[in-house]
Amino acid sequence: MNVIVAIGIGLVAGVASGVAGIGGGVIMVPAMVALLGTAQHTAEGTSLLAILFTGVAGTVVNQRNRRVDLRAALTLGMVGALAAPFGAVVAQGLPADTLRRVFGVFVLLTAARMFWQLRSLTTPSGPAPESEATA
Amino acid sequence: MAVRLDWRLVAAGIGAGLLSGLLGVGGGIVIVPLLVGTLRFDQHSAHATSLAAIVLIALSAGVAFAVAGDVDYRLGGAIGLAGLVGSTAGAQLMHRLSPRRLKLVFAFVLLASGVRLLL
Repeated sequence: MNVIVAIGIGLVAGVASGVAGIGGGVIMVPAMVALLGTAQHTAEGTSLLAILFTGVAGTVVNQRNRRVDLRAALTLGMVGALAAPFGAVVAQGLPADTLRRVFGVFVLLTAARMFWQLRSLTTPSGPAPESEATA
Repeated sequence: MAVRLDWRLVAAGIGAGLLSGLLGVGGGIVIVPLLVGTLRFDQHSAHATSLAAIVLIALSAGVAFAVAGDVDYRLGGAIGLAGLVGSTAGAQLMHRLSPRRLKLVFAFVLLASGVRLLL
Protein backbone atom coordinates (compact mmCIF):
# COMPACT_ATOMS: atom_id res chain seq x y z
CA MET A 1 0.00 0.00 0.00
CA ASN A 2 1.34 3.36 -1.00
CA VAL A 3 0.53 5.61 1.95
CA ILE A 4 1.06 8.86 0.05
CA VAL A 5 -1.34 7.79 -2.69
CA ALA A 6 -3.89 6.64 -0.12
CA ILE A 7 -3.70 9.99 1.67
CA GLY A 8 -4.08 11.81 -1.66
CA ILE A 9 -7.16 9.78 -2.57
CA GLY A 10 -8.64 10.42 0.88
CA LEU A 11 -8.07 14.17 0.73
CA VAL A 12 -9.59 14.60 -2.73
CA ALA A 13 -12.55 12.30 -2.07
CA GLY A 14 -13.04 13.89 1.36
CA VAL A 15 -13.31 17.44 0.01
CA ALA A 16 -15.72 16.26 -2.71
CA SER A 17 -17.71 14.40 -0.08
CA GLY A 18 -18.00 17.41 2.21
CA VAL A 19 -18.94 19.83 -0.55
CA ALA A 20 -21.26 17.63 -2.58
CA GLY A 21 -22.90 15.62 0.20
CA ILE A 22 -21.94 12.33 -1.42
CA GLY A 23 -19.95 9.50 0.07
CA GLY A 24 -17.05 9.86 -2.33
CA GLY A 25 -17.03 6.26 -3.49
CA VAL A 26 -17.38 7.49 -7.05
CA ILE A 27 -13.86 8.91 -6.66
CA MET A 28 -12.31 6.42 -4.24
CA VAL A 29 -13.23 3.17 -5.98
CA PRO A 30 -11.78 3.97 -9.43
CA ALA A 31 -8.77 5.69 -7.82
CA MET A 32 -7.95 2.61 -5.72
CA VAL A 33 -8.32 0.32 -8.72
CA ALA A 34 -6.26 2.51 -11.05
CA LEU A 35 -3.57 3.85 -8.71
CA LEU A 36 -3.15 1.07 -6.16
CA GLY A 37 -4.20 -1.98 -8.13
CA THR A 38 -6.91 -2.86 -5.61
CA ALA A 39 -9.43 -5.48 -6.78
CA GLN A 40 -12.82 -3.98 -7.72
CA HIS A 41 -14.77 -5.71 -4.94
CA THR A 42 -12.19 -4.91 -2.27
CA ALA A 43 -12.11 -1.30 -3.48
CA GLU A 44 -15.89 -1.05 -3.04
CA GLY A 45 -15.82 -2.54 0.45
CA THR A 46 -12.83 -0.42 1.46
CA SER A 47 -14.45 2.76 0.18
CA LEU A 48 -17.49 2.02 2.36
CA LEU A 49 -15.19 1.90 5.39
CA ALA A 50 -13.58 5.22 4.38
CA ILE A 51 -17.01 6.79 3.82
CA LEU A 52 -17.77 6.29 7.52
CA PHE A 53 -14.91 8.68 8.30
CA THR A 54 -15.74 11.30 5.66
CA GLY A 55 -19.47 11.07 6.42
CA VAL A 56 -19.14 11.50 10.18
CA ALA A 57 -16.56 14.32 9.91
CA GLY A 58 -18.61 16.24 7.34
CA THR A 59 -21.79 15.73 9.32
CA VAL A 60 -20.22 17.10 12.52
CA VAL A 61 -19.33 20.30 10.64
CA ASN A 62 -22.70 20.47 8.89
CA GLN A 63 -24.54 19.95 12.16
CA ARG A 64 -22.57 22.80 13.73
CA ASN A 65 -23.55 24.96 10.75
CA ARG A 66 -27.19 23.91 11.22
CA ARG A 67 -27.51 22.43 7.76
CA VAL A 68 -28.63 18.91 8.67
CA ASP A 69 -32.27 17.85 8.85
CA LEU A 70 -31.64 15.07 11.34
CA ARG A 71 -35.09 13.51 11.17
CA ALA A 72 -34.97 13.32 7.38
CA ALA A 73 -31.41 11.97 7.50
CA LEU A 74 -32.41 9.25 9.98
CA THR A 75 -35.41 8.22 7.88
CA LEU A 76 -33.38 8.15 4.67
CA GLY A 77 -30.45 6.44 6.33
CA MET A 78 -32.38 3.73 8.13
CA VAL A 79 -34.66 2.90 5.20
CA GLY A 80 -31.63 2.96 2.90
CA ALA A 81 -29.64 0.76 5.25
CA LEU A 82 -32.46 -1.80 5.22
CA ALA A 83 -32.78 -1.68 1.43
CA ALA A 84 -29.07 -1.87 0.59
CA PRO A 85 -28.60 -5.62 1.33
CA PHE A 86 -31.59 -6.41 -0.92
CA GLY A 87 -29.95 -4.45 -3.72
CA ALA A 88 -26.77 -6.45 -3.22
CA VAL A 89 -28.67 -9.74 -3.39
CA VAL A 90 -30.67 -8.67 -6.46
CA ALA A 91 -27.46 -7.53 -8.15
CA GLN A 92 -26.22 -11.12 -8.25
CA GLY A 93 -29.09 -12.17 -10.50
CA LEU A 94 -29.07 -9.16 -12.82
CA PRO A 95 -26.81 -7.92 -15.61
CA ALA A 96 -24.97 -5.38 -13.44
CA ASP A 97 -23.19 -3.71 -16.36
CA THR A 98 -26.45 -2.99 -18.15
CA LEU A 99 -28.00 -1.59 -14.98
CA ARG A 100 -24.95 0.54 -14.39
CA ARG A 101 -25.16 2.06 -17.85
CA VAL A 102 -28.89 2.69 -17.63
CA PHE A 103 -28.35 4.40 -14.31
CA GLY A 104 -25.44 6.35 -15.85
CA VAL A 105 -27.76 7.75 -18.53
CA PHE A 106 -30.27 8.67 -15.85
CA VAL A 107 -27.57 10.49 -13.84
CA LEU A 108 -26.39 12.36 -16.95
CA LEU A 109 -29.96 13.45 -17.69
CA THR A 110 -30.27 14.73 -14.13
CA ALA A 111 -27.00 16.63 -14.58
CA ALA A 112 -28.25 18.11 -17.85
CA ARG A 113 -31.44 19.22 -16.14
CA MET A 114 -29.45 20.93 -13.39
CA PHE A 115 -27.24 22.73 -15.90
CA TRP A 116 -30.38 23.86 -17.69
CA GLN A 117 -31.90 25.21 -14.48
CA LEU A 118 -28.64 26.99 -13.67
CA ARG A 119 -28.57 28.55 -17.10
CA SER A 120 -31.99 30.08 -16.54
CA LEU A 121 -30.83 31.27 -13.12
CA THR A 122 -27.89 33.15 -14.61
CA THR A 123 -29.62 34.83 -17.54
CA PRO A 124 -29.64 38.42 -16.27
CA SER A 125 -32.19 40.00 -18.59
CA GLY A 126 -34.01 36.94 -19.87
CA PRO A 127 -37.54 35.98 -18.95
CA ALA A 128 -38.10 36.03 -15.22
CA PRO A 129 -36.80 32.76 -13.82
CA GLU A 130 -39.27 30.60 -11.98
CA SER A 131 -39.07 31.33 -8.31
CA GLU A 132 -36.52 28.74 -7.30
CA ALA A 133 -37.44 28.07 -3.69
CA THR A 134 -34.01 28.15 -2.11
CA ALA A 135 -35.09 29.44 1.24
CA MET B 1 -37.36 22.51 8.32
CA ALA B 2 -39.73 20.13 10.03
CA VAL B 3 -40.16 17.14 7.77
CA ARG B 4 -42.86 14.68 8.77
CA LEU B 5 -42.44 11.02 8.07
CA ASP B 6 -43.02 11.45 4.40
CA TRP B 7 -43.56 8.62 1.95
CA ARG B 8 -41.33 10.44 -0.52
CA LEU B 9 -38.55 10.31 2.04
CA VAL B 10 -39.13 6.60 2.57
CA ALA B 11 -39.21 6.05 -1.20
CA ALA B 12 -35.98 8.02 -1.63
CA GLY B 13 -34.36 5.95 1.10
CA ILE B 14 -35.43 2.69 -0.51
CA GLY B 15 -34.26 3.87 -3.92
CA ALA B 16 -30.91 5.07 -2.62
CA GLY B 17 -30.34 1.92 -0.57
CA LEU B 18 -31.24 -0.44 -3.41
CA LEU B 19 -28.99 1.40 -5.86
CA SER B 20 -26.22 1.49 -3.32
CA GLY B 21 -26.31 -2.27 -2.90
CA LEU B 22 -27.02 -2.91 -6.56
CA LEU B 23 -24.32 -0.76 -8.13
CA GLY B 24 -21.89 -0.04 -5.34
CA VAL B 25 -22.48 3.69 -5.53
CA GLY B 26 -23.14 5.82 -2.50
CA GLY B 27 -26.68 7.09 -2.28
CA GLY B 28 -25.70 10.76 -2.57
CA ILE B 29 -26.14 11.18 -6.30
CA VAL B 30 -29.69 9.87 -5.83
CA ILE B 31 -30.58 11.47 -2.51
CA VAL B 32 -29.54 15.07 -3.23
CA PRO B 33 -31.60 15.53 -6.43
CA LEU B 34 -34.61 13.86 -4.78
CA LEU B 35 -34.43 16.08 -1.71
CA VAL B 36 -34.14 19.22 -3.83
CA GLY B 37 -36.56 18.20 -6.57
CA THR B 38 -39.41 16.55 -4.69
CA LEU B 39 -39.05 17.66 -1.08
CA ARG B 40 -38.05 21.26 -1.74
CA PHE B 41 -34.90 21.14 0.36
CA ASP B 42 -32.52 24.00 -0.24
CA GLN B 43 -29.26 22.92 -1.85
CA HIS B 44 -27.18 23.19 1.34
CA SER B 45 -29.55 21.21 3.57
CA ALA B 46 -29.91 18.57 0.88
CA HIS B 47 -26.14 18.03 0.75
CA ALA B 48 -25.78 17.99 4.55
CA THR B 49 -28.75 15.67 5.08
CA SER B 50 -27.61 13.34 2.32
CA LEU B 51 -24.14 12.99 3.85
CA ALA B 52 -25.59 12.15 7.27
CA ALA B 53 -27.90 9.52 5.73
CA ILE B 54 -25.01 8.00 3.77
CA VAL B 55 -23.18 7.16 7.00
CA LEU B 56 -25.96 4.73 7.91
CA ILE B 57 -26.28 3.30 4.40
CA ALA B 58 -22.51 2.81 4.09
CA LEU B 59 -22.44 1.13 7.49
CA SER B 60 -25.05 -1.39 6.38
CA ALA B 61 -23.49 -2.04 2.98
CA GLY B 62 -20.01 -2.11 4.52
CA VAL B 63 -20.95 -4.90 6.93
CA ALA B 64 -21.95 -7.06 3.96
CA PHE B 65 -18.57 -6.44 2.30
CA ALA B 66 -16.71 -7.02 5.59
CA VAL B 67 -18.46 -10.36 6.11
CA ALA B 68 -17.41 -11.37 2.61
CA GLY B 69 -13.82 -10.35 3.46
CA ASP B 70 -13.80 -7.55 0.90
CA VAL B 71 -12.49 -4.75 3.12
CA ASP B 72 -8.83 -3.69 3.28
CA TYR B 73 -8.83 -2.16 6.77
CA ARG B 74 -5.39 -0.56 6.64
CA LEU B 75 -6.08 1.05 3.27
CA GLY B 76 -9.59 2.09 4.32
CA GLY B 77 -8.21 3.55 7.54
CA ALA B 78 -5.54 5.55 5.71
CA ILE B 79 -7.95 6.88 3.11
CA GLY B 80 -10.58 7.47 5.78
CA LEU B 81 -8.29 9.49 8.06
CA ALA B 82 -7.20 11.69 5.15
CA GLY B 83 -10.83 11.82 4.06
CA LEU B 84 -11.81 13.01 7.51
CA VAL B 85 -9.55 16.04 7.09
CA GLY B 86 -10.76 16.64 3.53
CA SER B 87 -14.42 16.28 4.42
CA THR B 88 -14.14 18.68 7.35
CA ALA B 89 -12.67 21.30 5.00
CA GLY B 90 -15.18 20.42 2.28
CA ALA B 91 -18.18 20.79 4.55
CA GLN B 92 -16.91 24.16 5.75
CA LEU B 93 -16.42 25.22 2.12
CA MET B 94 -19.93 24.02 1.28
CA HIS B 95 -21.33 26.24 4.05
CA ARG B 96 -19.75 29.29 2.41
CA LEU B 97 -20.74 28.64 -1.20
CA SER B 98 -23.81 30.33 -2.64
CA PRO B 99 -26.74 28.01 -3.49
CA ARG B 100 -26.05 28.62 -7.16
CA ARG B 101 -22.37 27.74 -6.93
CA LEU B 102 -23.20 24.69 -4.88
CA LYS B 103 -25.71 23.54 -7.47
CA LEU B 104 -23.11 24.03 -10.17
CA VAL B 105 -20.55 21.96 -8.24
CA PHE B 106 -23.09 19.20 -7.76
CA ALA B 107 -24.05 19.24 -11.44
CA PHE B 108 -20.38 18.66 -12.32
CA VAL B 109 -20.15 15.83 -9.78
CA LEU B 110 -23.24 14.27 -11.38
CA LEU B 111 -21.73 14.70 -14.84
CA ALA B 112 -18.52 12.97 -13.77
CA SER B 113 -20.42 10.22 -11.99
CA GLY B 114 -22.68 9.63 -14.98
CA VAL B 115 -19.73 9.33 -17.34
CA ARG B 116 -18.01 6.96 -14.95
CA LEU B 117 -21.12 4.78 -14.66
CA LEU B 118 -21.45 4.61 -18.43
CA LEU B 119 -17.86 3.50 -19.00
